Amino acid sequence: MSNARWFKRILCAFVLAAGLSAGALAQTPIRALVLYDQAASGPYAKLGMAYAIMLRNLLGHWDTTVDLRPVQSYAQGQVENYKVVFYIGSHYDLPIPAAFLADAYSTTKTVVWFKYNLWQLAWNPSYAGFSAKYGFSFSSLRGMDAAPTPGNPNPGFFDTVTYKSRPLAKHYTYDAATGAINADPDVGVTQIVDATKAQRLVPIRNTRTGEEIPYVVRGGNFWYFADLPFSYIGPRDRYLVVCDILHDILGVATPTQQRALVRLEDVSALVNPNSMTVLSNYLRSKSIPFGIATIPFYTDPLGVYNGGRAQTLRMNQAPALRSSLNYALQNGGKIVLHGYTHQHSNMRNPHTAVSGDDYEFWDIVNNRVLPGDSVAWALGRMNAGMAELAANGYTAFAWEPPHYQMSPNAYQAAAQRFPTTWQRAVYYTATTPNLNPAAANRDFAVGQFFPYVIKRDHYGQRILPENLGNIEYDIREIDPSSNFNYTWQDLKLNAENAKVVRDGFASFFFHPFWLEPELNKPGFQDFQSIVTAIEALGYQWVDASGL
Amino acid sequence: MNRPLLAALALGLFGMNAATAATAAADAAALTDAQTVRQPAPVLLAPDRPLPPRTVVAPPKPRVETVVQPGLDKLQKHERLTDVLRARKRAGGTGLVVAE
Repeated sequence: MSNARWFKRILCAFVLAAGLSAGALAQTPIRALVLYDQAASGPYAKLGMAYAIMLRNLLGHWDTTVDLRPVQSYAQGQVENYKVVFYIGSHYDLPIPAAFLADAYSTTKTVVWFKYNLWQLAWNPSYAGFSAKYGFSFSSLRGMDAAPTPGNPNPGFFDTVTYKSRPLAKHYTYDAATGAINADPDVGVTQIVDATKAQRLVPIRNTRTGEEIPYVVRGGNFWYFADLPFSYIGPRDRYLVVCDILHDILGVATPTQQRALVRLEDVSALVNPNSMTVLSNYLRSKSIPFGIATIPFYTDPLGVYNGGRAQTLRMNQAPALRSSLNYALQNGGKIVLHGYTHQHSNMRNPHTAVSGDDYEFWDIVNNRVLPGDSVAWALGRMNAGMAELAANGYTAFAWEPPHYQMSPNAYQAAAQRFPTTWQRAVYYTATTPNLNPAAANRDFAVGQFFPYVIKRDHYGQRILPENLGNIEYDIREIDPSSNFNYTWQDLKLNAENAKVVRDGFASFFFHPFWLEPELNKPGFQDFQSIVTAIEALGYQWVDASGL
Repeated sequence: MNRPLLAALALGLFGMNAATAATAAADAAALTDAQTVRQPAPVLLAPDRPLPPRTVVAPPKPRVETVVQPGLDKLQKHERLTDVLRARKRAGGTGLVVAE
């Protein structure tokens, strides 16, 4: 055998080995540790955990293994077991264990610090070289510029984060009657002292005074966020900054890719096939795949819309639903199971106990889990929904929680039953949370939406994003609780902001009933406007079932 | 109680503790993220070592108190599916669901 042939064989073996090695590396999850404050008692003892869960969910966008722990239980050396360590400073001046301070200062691993308590490290004589090492210093906390009054309802604070040229304003409302301020204005103030070592990556501005300070600053392996970006989150909020910048923190190269999703909502026995035909035809004409959030079993146990007599309509008794689905499926639609009955038993939860009106997996009246709540109970209802579809020749590729809220057990059931879900979710700090604000050691429930696909959330669910919301009209003359306008222009603005996330989606849903003539709203026109606007922003429509 | 009996008792207790700890560790490893939040608070609160003496005076906390809402206060869906039935009734229809 010639030397050339031997050389080729050795070269092939080398390339093969290198390829296998690279493949193995690519499949290795990133290990992350999220440390949070947990006070021994008090109404906010579990607040840090709530924030930690939210961060954990975002980290689920990547191949990650995430551990959550109270910083108070940190053991020396743990940092070294992870690629990235996050500390969530949610509790003002809660003492941080010396072991974590020492490790955070000495490690070469990535450390990300949020909001409070940086002074325990940066001002600590034991770490007097903090500023020299990282190139920035910590100087103070700032909050509201003054207390608001009815005559001066917003005296100002650091309220606007600018990211990729987009102003992202923090939430603020003031109730002059009660004096309550709904906002999270406190920020940690840092200064760059050595520009060769530290960078102000993102600024935050006090729009009243014009002052500007770092919102995100990085010095070497140490990152600092001036606030906790998980309070009052919204689609135009600085929450989008952490969603995007996590790519850089984790060191994962991601190409810019902006995709769009649309879903037709609450399609049940009450659906009008004409509306579904119009929408299906339009989406087909533009080659846009779409989801159909389907409620397979209609029930009205109190007879609210049946002259006082209980009524149920199975799928085989609902020709309008079947014909609507058949037409939509032929034109690019894919079914998402949106509850079994989308209501609970014969209780008004909270409206009528009629399918589509009420919550199915959460007691919204008392803000607690429903009687009999368990993973098995929720699985039973999810299986019943799938069986109802199957009995009529349909299947669903995903699950969407009714009214976007379920119990922790039901979310775990969804994770077990469905390979993917399409939703924004609510997370709790216990499996049977006590959300009474007056309760000792009260729990928290936090709503969270995502601008991208989450491979695994706190409950183990895979989540497709819905981050723009939906078009709504004020029809209080018909339904006093439906008193809110959310326009296609609102969704467009949300989509513009979502572009700051390098792989962000523009995902929204729409109720076909807005095409009903009796409602007298420009539903179809507005639907076309938002579809066109999303396309004009450069998003590409994709099939949710293929993600 | 004699010394051998004491020693045997101590050894037995040690063994039981070790077995309990091992079971707890195995259980903890099997917990999902959601389940870990159910750990009793005293376990989570127990620091591994005494907290450090305070060597740093904290900066003043901003004085104006606010109400902080963690996360999104969930997306409110104001409209309801049966609004259509109400609208039809308002337009002169029955507002009832008729099985076909």
